[in-house]
Amino acid sequence: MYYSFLGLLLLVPLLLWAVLGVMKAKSDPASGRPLVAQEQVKAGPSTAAKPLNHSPLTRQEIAERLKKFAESEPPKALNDRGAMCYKPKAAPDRADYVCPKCGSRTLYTSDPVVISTVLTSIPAIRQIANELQSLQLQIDESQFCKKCSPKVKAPQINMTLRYSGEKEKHLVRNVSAMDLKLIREFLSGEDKHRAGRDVESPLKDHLKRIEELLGISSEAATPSK
Amino acid sequence: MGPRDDRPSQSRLAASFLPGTAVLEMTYACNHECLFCSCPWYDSRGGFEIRPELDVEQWKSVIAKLCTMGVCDLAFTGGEPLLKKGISEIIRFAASCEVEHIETKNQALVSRLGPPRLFLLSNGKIVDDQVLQLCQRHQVHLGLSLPGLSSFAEHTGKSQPGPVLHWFKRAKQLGLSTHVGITVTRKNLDELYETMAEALLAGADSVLLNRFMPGGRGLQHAQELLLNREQTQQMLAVAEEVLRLADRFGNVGTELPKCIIDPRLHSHLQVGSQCSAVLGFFVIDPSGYVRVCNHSPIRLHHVNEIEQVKDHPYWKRFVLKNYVPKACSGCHEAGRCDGGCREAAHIWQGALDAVDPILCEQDCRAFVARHGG
Repeated sequence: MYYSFLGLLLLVPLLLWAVLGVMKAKSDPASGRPLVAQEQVKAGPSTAAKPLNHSPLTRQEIAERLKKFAESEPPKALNDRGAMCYKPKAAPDRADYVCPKCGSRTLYTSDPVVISTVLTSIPAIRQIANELQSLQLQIDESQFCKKCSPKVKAPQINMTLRYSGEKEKHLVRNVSAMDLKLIREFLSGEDKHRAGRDVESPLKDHLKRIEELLGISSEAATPSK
Repeated sequence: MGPRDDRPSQSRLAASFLPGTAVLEMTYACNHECLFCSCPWYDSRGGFEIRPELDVEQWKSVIAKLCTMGVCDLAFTGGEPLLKKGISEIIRFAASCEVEHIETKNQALVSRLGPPRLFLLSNGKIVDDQVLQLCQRHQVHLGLSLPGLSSFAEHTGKSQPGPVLHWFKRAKQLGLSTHVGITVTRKNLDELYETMAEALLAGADSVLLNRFMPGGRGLQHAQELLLNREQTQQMLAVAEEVLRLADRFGNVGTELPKCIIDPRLHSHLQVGSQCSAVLGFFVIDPSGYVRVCNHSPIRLHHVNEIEQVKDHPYWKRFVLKNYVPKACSGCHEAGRCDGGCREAAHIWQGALDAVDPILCEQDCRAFVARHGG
């Protein structure tokens, strides 16, 4: 019972949502009812992904992979219709951001874009950046912290990466979770990009962005002899 | 608390690093002996020392401090909180405090002073009209535990469900806000439909569902209680069916991995996949030690040194969500799913970034053989 309080954080806005909606309790007694799920609940989409190689990558290696990728055939089987009929859940009252550097807590409005950024995108970016060890990625979230960046009004996440053997870093401003996913998918050798709600697209469609993120063009590779 | 800035804004610094909700474990004592209880002090392996409990004045001091630090929701639990001597006085004190509620209105953050939102989570055994009147007077939301109907006595070791249903009826008459808390185990899954239905018909406003997770006393009974993946999906389906029929709403209190749920099937049941520990709430145990959640056996600092909690490595892991299982690497749900309950994984497999028990292929007999019980 007591560990069950975890859910009460969601319960308060849910109760408000319920009270404002139409509430009718059916008075039919729950007797003789058929138990059970009317359909077998299927698990969500498979999340199996190809494993990443964590050895440090040089710029040349990346360029060669990009070149091969640009020349490859796009996939034929895609789920391009996405998931249908989602019901919205009760939105939280505000979004809390906790700075990994100073530990301060910044409160944001419950604007859907802000909520999505603070509660979903930032954790996703951190998680994926952690997985991409071969690129020595650094994520700068400091603009989201009101203590670290008191004057910033429209915070962004910036990213730097450094290739093995190089001193200079490549800076990309205003990265999103999707950007990190693109990099991960490319480095895993995937040919599809999976966006939210199971929508797939050929990863090749995002080649330009991948090049911007990695700071390399697919034409930059030295031709092999 | 510093001077208030009443101008609407899109963002602002919080009063402190603390999340908005504090779960206050009033006492170690309980008048049930629930098989599924995850209170860490009931873990038969030991390791969680029962230290002197905070007294009434100390709790008041803690509550007053938390209210100045941006905490605006307080939940009284335990053990069984009604066994705490002076609990009424503590609740009355909490209701007299003033906190700053920060909410979104017209796309801006607005601030409103008022008493903290209060929650009382009880097993119902010693609830009486005085308790209900206390809740009514101070607008305390009441949660009562109902782990089954025919299986109630087996789960709790003591009682029958009748009184819990009775108090839901009384609470409804008094206009109290309530929810029924149901810990779903293998033993009560078959009567989940009836359990939920009875509670809602008795007057519970909503349902807070939890799958059994190994911890505390529950570790000894994991083999007979733990739901597998299919049973968990059955739990969700049954709950959705009841709630839809009753036109009520509910949520699952403990996060589930997205790979085993299909949210498109749930219009009345909210199922979360992200851990809220440290980000949304934290716990203070009966002796005043801060923990990340009530499932966790790890004590951080005493509440008297609460500022130091911010820099505790264990707390920081939850801030950064640096606990997603390696098995989840590459998952396209990154950021939206934490791979299930982290503390359950920690207790079950010894590491915070282990897989949730529900995804674990490990035979629980092996666990029992290792740890006894």
